[in-house]
Amino acid sequence: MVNATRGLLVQCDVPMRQYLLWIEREERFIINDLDENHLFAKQDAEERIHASVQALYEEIYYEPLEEGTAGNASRRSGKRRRIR
Amino acid sequence: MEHLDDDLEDVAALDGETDDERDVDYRWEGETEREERRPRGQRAGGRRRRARTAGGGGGGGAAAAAGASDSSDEWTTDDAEGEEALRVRVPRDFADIADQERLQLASGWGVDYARALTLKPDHAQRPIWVLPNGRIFLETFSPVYRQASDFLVAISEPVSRPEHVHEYALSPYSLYAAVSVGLDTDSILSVLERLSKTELPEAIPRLVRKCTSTYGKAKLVLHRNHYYVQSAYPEVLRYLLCDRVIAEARVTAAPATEGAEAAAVPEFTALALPIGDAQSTLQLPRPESPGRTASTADDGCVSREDAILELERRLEGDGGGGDDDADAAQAAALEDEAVRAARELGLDDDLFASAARPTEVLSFEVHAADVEHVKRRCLELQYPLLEEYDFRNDTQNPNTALDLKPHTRVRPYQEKSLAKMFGNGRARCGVIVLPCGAGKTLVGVTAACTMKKTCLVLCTSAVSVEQWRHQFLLWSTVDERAIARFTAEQRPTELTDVMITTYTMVAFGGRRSEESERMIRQIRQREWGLIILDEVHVVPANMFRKVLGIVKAHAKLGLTATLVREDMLVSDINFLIGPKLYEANWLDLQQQGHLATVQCAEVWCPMTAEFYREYLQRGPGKRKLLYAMNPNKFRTCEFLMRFHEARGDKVIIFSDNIFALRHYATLLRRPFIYGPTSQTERMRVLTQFQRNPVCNTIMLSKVGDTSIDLPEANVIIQISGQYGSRRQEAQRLGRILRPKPRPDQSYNAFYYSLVSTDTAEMYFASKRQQFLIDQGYAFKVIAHIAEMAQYPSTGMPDRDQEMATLAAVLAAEDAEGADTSLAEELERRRLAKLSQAPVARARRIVHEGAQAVSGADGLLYGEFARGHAGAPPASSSSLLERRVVRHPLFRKRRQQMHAKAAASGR
Repeated sequence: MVNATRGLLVQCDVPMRQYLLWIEREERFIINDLDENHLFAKQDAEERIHASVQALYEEIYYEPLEEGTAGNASRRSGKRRRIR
Repeated sequence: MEHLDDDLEDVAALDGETDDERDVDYRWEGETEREERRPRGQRAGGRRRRARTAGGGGGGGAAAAAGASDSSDEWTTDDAEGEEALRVRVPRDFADIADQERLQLASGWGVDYARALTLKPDHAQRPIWVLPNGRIFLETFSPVYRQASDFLVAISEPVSRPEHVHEYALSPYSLYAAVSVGLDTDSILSVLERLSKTELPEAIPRLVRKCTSTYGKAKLVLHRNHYYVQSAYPEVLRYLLCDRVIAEARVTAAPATEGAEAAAVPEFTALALPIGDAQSTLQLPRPESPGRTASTADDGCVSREDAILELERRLEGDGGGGDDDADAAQAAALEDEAVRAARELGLDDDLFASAARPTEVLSFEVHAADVEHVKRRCLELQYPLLEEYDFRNDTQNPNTALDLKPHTRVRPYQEKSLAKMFGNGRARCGVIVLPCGAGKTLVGVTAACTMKKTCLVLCTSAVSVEQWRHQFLLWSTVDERAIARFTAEQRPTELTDVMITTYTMVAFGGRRSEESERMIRQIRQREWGLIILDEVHVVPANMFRKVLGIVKAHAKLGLTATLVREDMLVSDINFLIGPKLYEANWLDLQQQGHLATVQCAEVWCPMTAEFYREYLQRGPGKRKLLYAMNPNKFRTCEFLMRFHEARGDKVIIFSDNIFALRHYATLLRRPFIYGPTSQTERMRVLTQFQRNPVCNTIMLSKVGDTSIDLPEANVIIQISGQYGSRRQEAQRLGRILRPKPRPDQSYNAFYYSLVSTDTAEMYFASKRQQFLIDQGYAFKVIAHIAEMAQYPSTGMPDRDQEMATLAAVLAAEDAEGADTSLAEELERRRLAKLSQAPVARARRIVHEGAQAVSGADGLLYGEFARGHAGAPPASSSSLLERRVVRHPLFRKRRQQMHAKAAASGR
């Protein structure tokens, strides 16, 4: 008797896997922990994983701005565009 | 400029942030195609340029309307093209410039100035772009780059100077500095007009005229230990006296006897101070080439500044490759072409001609204690006081027998900075900014020898006192008995010509020993000719302001390498000491060989699984220890250290975190120096480092940032730094900037900054590098070192050692790795917060375990409610140390998460 589960294979590096395991305590999306670089997650978890990783990078990414603006203060603009 | 406390304000500001989706300028929506075309001046190198949409002015229209919806009437159109034109706001003064900057950046867009500025037909020969908001961009590949950059450094502040395009900013402070070195309004405007690729925008002449029309009219003079505000225009003095602060500071004469008419007491005293004419000479020893003299032998009618410019040109013409004839000829050819091109544009000798001065001056006296307030007030009234000291004609103070020794070689950039200080025969007060290791001490010594008056030197520590004394004896003819050190250990009995002391000695407010007290009294009473302030970026702190109130000096010279501080007080230096006289270009000095060519690199070290798991769970104090003790970082450090030792380099490893410092030193088996190390041990370690070929690496904590002089080191590996301090990064780099010739390689110095990826250290590392990036250094990112696999680490070879390290880190106290001052600061804030916490009703206390109950974890006993279990306790340190950055692109997602959290929390 075979039990098949459809899911998402997540391939990542070592620190990111730890981060996803940390996130998983709140939002449960991991079905199986495969090895150091791979995880097996639920199918609908893709967006949540991307959102969490983006949240992490938002914290550690430094946007150099001119003096007068305090760090990454919110920018008010009529249109959004990625400035890279 | 950001400071350590801005996290609190940022959180406060962003928590109240609302999402304004106002469609602010419908016209803006249609201008899509113009956004893609950026002005040429913004196409510059460096990753910062692309991320920063600097100089944006038109977007300011949209943003300003968003920021202040009711101030749309403040907007004026810049050009006459009508409503179609971009609405660029005309800055009225420097506050306007700053506001406009802020709004432009808040909009986040670049600006197309094609409508607002019209190109001249020969724009390809001209080197600069001038924008309506006061920014100037200079092309370094233009043939007149050198003269143009000298001019721009004189009138504006350099903001960023990478390799190809420099950015400068006009501001009232910089125009004040320009006037004080002798430039006047018309010459500034005419040269700007000649150099600019476009017609000057209307705002610029208005700004320059407004700022320079009032500068230079009033002076502050010290005469016989009294301060006088002096001016040749009595209406200026009357206008100043209308102000309340200045009127209160004025020393009123003794009350007239009864019956005396008011006319008998003159309104202003006419001081019998002779004003030197502008044709005196700057004496510098030039032993090697008797053909070049600094005297104005043949050009009696040509003013000082252009003679110096001429000198510079000649120096640059034959200063390059003296030995190689072909090189010299080529350099001369290039020089001729540059001079010809400069002459075409009108950048020739009559540029810096100084105006004639009237000879009759009037003055009024002010109290010595209020001088700073008077200066600040005059600055606000747009009549900043020039401080000049006519030392040649000062017969009250005796001359000292100070001279430079004949073997002293003054480099061209040092001469240039001194020429700015002694421009018209008098000594100006101000600050000279030169890179670390470029010879600031020699500039101070030369200034003292030029003035030949009594000199007081203030340093930051006892080690610098020794260094200054050593340099004075080395470069000048001062007698050993005429130079004295005044520190806690050595107290001389009488005043000498040259005294070297520390800031803390003079500004100390408590009780002193009797000898110190006597010495301080003598220092206070004497009228010093020159006071040299070393490392002037520490001066704005209140404690050090007292120094300038205690010591009366005619001329003040501040020397520093980094005028960057992480709080907002750098502009205070403008009225405490004086304007910035000269700032050297780091890249230029590097190309001329006066500074070492440094390869800066940021090396990424991934965290290991266990360390990262602990990092995610812990609070900010432990996080700092964890990312400093990352095993991969240790292995990288070891590899780089062995690699460079094998090459024969001398390596310094910097670590701000003491716990990491000791641990690394134990595992690597290298000596280390930190705060508690005794003086004798420090000297022993440093001597071994300099002399012994076997001892090639040492580890230093924060004490190594300044004052320890290590000319032999050429590699720095930094494993931990103090948050985002740009000053610290620049000063650490300064440890290896002395040039050491290595003919086989192009780079002879290396600066590695090891960063643990995916941690907050990435944020701090990027922030720290900004100052050096502005000076022209590019940080290369090394994501992976392939050779590391071949050389296994001996300090941390396997996982067992990693786990042992992790256990040690977790067992350590949070404050153990921090330096004492920061720990004290955190403690103070914690106490303050506890005292303010209201205890309204009884609360249930949830403890983590027995340790917390017994108080063994170092916390004070306090009661406060815990909102959610399991999260790290919210303490003030988290606001200080952990930076929560909210990028506007993720605003919607963030709101969704807030909504979801709020919904699930209820």
